[in-house]
Amino acid sequence: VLTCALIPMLLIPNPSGRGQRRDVHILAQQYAYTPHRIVVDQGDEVHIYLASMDVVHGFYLEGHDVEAVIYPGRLQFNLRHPSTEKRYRPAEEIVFVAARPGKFRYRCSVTCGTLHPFMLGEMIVRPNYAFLAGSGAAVGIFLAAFIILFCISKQHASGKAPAPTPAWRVDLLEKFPALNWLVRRRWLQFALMLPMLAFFMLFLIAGVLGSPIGNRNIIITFVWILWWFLLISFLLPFGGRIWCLVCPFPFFGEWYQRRRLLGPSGGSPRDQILRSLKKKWPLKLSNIWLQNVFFLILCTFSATLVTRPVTTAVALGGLAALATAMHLVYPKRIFCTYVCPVSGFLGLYSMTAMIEVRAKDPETCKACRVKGATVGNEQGWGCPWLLIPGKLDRNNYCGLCMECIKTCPYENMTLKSRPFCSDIDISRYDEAWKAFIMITLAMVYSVTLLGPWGTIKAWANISEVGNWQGFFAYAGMIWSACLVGLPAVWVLAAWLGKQLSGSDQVSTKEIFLRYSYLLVPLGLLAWIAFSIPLIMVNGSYIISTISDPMGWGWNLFGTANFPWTPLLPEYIVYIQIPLLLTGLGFSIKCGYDIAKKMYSDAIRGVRSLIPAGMVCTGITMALIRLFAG
Amino acid sequence: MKEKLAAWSVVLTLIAIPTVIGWYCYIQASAPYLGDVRVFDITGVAEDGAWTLEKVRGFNYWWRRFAPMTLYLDLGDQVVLRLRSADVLHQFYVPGLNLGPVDVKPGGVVEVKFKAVKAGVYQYYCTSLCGGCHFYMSGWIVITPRGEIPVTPKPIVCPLCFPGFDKPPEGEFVRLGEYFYLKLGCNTCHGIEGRGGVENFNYINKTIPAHNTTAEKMFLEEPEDAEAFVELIKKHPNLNKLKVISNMPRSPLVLSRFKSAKEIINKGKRCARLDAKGPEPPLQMPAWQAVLPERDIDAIIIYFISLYPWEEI
Repeated sequence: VLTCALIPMLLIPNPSGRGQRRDVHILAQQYAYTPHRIVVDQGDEVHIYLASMDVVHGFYLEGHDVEAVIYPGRLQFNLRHPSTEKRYRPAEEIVFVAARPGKFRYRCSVTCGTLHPFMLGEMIVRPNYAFLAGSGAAVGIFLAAFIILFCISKQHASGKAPAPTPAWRVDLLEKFPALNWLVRRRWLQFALMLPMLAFFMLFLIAGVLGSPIGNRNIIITFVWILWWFLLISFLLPFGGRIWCLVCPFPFFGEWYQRRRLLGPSGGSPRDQILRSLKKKWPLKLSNIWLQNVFFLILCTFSATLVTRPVTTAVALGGLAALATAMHLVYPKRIFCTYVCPVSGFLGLYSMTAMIEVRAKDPETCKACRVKGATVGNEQGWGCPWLLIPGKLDRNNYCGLCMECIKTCPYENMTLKSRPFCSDIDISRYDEAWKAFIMITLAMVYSVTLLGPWGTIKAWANISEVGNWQGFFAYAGMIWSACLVGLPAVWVLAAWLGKQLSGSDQVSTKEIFLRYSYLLVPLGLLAWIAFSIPLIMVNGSYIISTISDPMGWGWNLFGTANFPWTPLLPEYIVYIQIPLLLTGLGFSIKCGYDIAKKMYSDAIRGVRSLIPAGMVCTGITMALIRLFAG
Repeated sequence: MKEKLAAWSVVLTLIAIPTVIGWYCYIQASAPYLGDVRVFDITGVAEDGAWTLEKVRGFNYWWRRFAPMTLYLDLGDQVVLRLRSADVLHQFYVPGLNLGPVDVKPGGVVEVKFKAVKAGVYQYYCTSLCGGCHFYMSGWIVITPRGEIPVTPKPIVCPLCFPGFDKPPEGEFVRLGEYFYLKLGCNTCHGIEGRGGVENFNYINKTIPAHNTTAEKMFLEEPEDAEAFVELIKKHPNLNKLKVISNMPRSPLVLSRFKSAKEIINKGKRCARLDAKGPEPPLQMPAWQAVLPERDIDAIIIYFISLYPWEEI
């Protein structure tokens, strides 16, 4: 891997003619800069001249301690070096020597409209070592992984391989008695949901009545910066669907169904009967296709959704209302299992989670006649997620509500910690497509929201620009890439894989479905890599909106005027690249585990994995190109 | 018992959140000001080109046209204007009352305090370009002695957003020039069809120069001269680089005036003050070089030349 990372770094010739003068005229316009990309060589003397076309824009150059305010219609702009100066002074140009190689984005630092937080351009100082090394390392991981896999499987074939050690599990409830006590409390879920409900209510009020400026409204900063970052980067990989434990959407519906907030008081069997119209959910929709479609719809409007408080308020409020309505009609958490757009990707990525609810001993569950965890008893409700907890073997649809742990009379249900990516089985089309949709969207967003291309932003920004033609082209591209494009590539990879394996033991269809799991670890880490700039660049908005949640000029904690301060933005790529490479590594590792399950001959399995591995490597390199190139 | 406690805590939460927000809003609105002070909350909205007294909320910003404020004050009022922006950076400036200009950044409140000491009608402005409707982002502050009926000046409303306002094709210079003249809001200062006459507070020339006499200023004395020169501009994209034009009388003068006209449009111009110690004139010629390519500036000048009323002379 190291060799592959170093080769492109060494091959690239050092820039000739050091110290060239580069004059760059940059024009700012809602929501992009022209040119959107400048390329200079290390050691060049860069002169930047700024102008604005429409409204007041900022110009913050990462890693160069430069911040400017550009007034349209004026020949001069205001400039300061934020680390040493508070006040701006008029200037005609920005002059600096491009000393450090790499990618430095220039971002708008004065709120200039809805898509302001995503207005940026990029300056490349050649040689761009991070990009070269990252791309090389991706190829390196691919090559190294397959060399290792071939060696291992050869040993297998000759019987020299050591017996595989079963993956570790730690029974958290046994290890931490306090946790054991806690998850058995009837009030646990309620106590977690109530503050979330309070926040949710505050967010809705802020979204509707608060400031229309996204970065000054708590609903945007808390939901799309803080919550999203925590969810994708910490809750999901470490806690799986732990969010479902605290999510306020089903609060009222579940209260209605159960007639109680805390739980069955014991004794009366009537307590166990859920109140609802008891309609049956159609079998045809008993999959996650609805979630896939709803998620795609939300994502199509993402540029509006994540920048306009009222849109977020309507979307979240609407989902909560729908959840409540569905609880009135259908028993248990039908909304969560089959409809909620968030639930879809939580389910998919919870397969990687380092936590699981499982039976300690499946035999006990088989022998059990009471089935308390499924139907409920005086200790708690039957599984609201329509599962048979004793048979759980994947995380996908388990909302970690802890009811089964409370109800099992044998104390056979428990919470375990486990290695990353322990569930590796996908055998359904809906789940496979979820994986395609998620990783495609991670790439799409890296282009639309984190990319420098103003045209695409204008297409996506339908509610302000109103260019329906462009919007349909944009939406069409997203939908076809998610639903057709990547799946088609995957079909090809599966077919090639089958040819390479030289065996008819496994059908193309099965290879297609089972290997779609490769996109799960890679997808999750791609999303984490995508989310890191959100928090590191725009995280300071959280600090200011804590004091002024509505954007009305309050100052509750004295931080309302905390300026927009990106946190070491020039180092973001050095976090993103290792994350993506880790994702690629896990993808191929899991691919091997899947191949071993499918093929009796491990070498054939590894061969069948090559095309899918190549696609994953390609996706990783594309993302590295977007983030670092 | 526990169950009841839980239910009550839910109800309490649902009531408490809006109540606390409302209560805090209430004390925020009144508490910091002592005595007999009139407080106005004013929000700048770029899309409508208005400083408005209406409440700009998350839900109404996207569909509502906000009316520009006309602020009626009584003589002797102590006034606090609490300025906000709903979108981009605006500047608030009332030269007649010597208020501002202050930067109003999105997401904060800027307070402007003053006492209404002299009766009259004062125009306020936004003095930082804020979008297509910027030049209409202006209105009136009316100060009347107590008991008198105030005058009601006509609000300044942006008429730009009418349908059919499409860009004419390249090559139709006069129409293109007119299009830019209207679209960029030049007409708000230089008058309809370049007739000028718009007052600029404390400006040395009192009113902003007209443009329907551009032909004359460029020493194009006959319609034929003007026509010939316009044809030249159309043919030569870099006309201002020439020094002399053959068979045109006084061509160095014409060219030099043409150059300086382009220079003013490109680089803008600060307006000199009438009273050197008085406030800065609110209307300043912006530099358009970032917005207008050279050819579009040519089109505008051709439009100006075409405005000259030859028949009347």
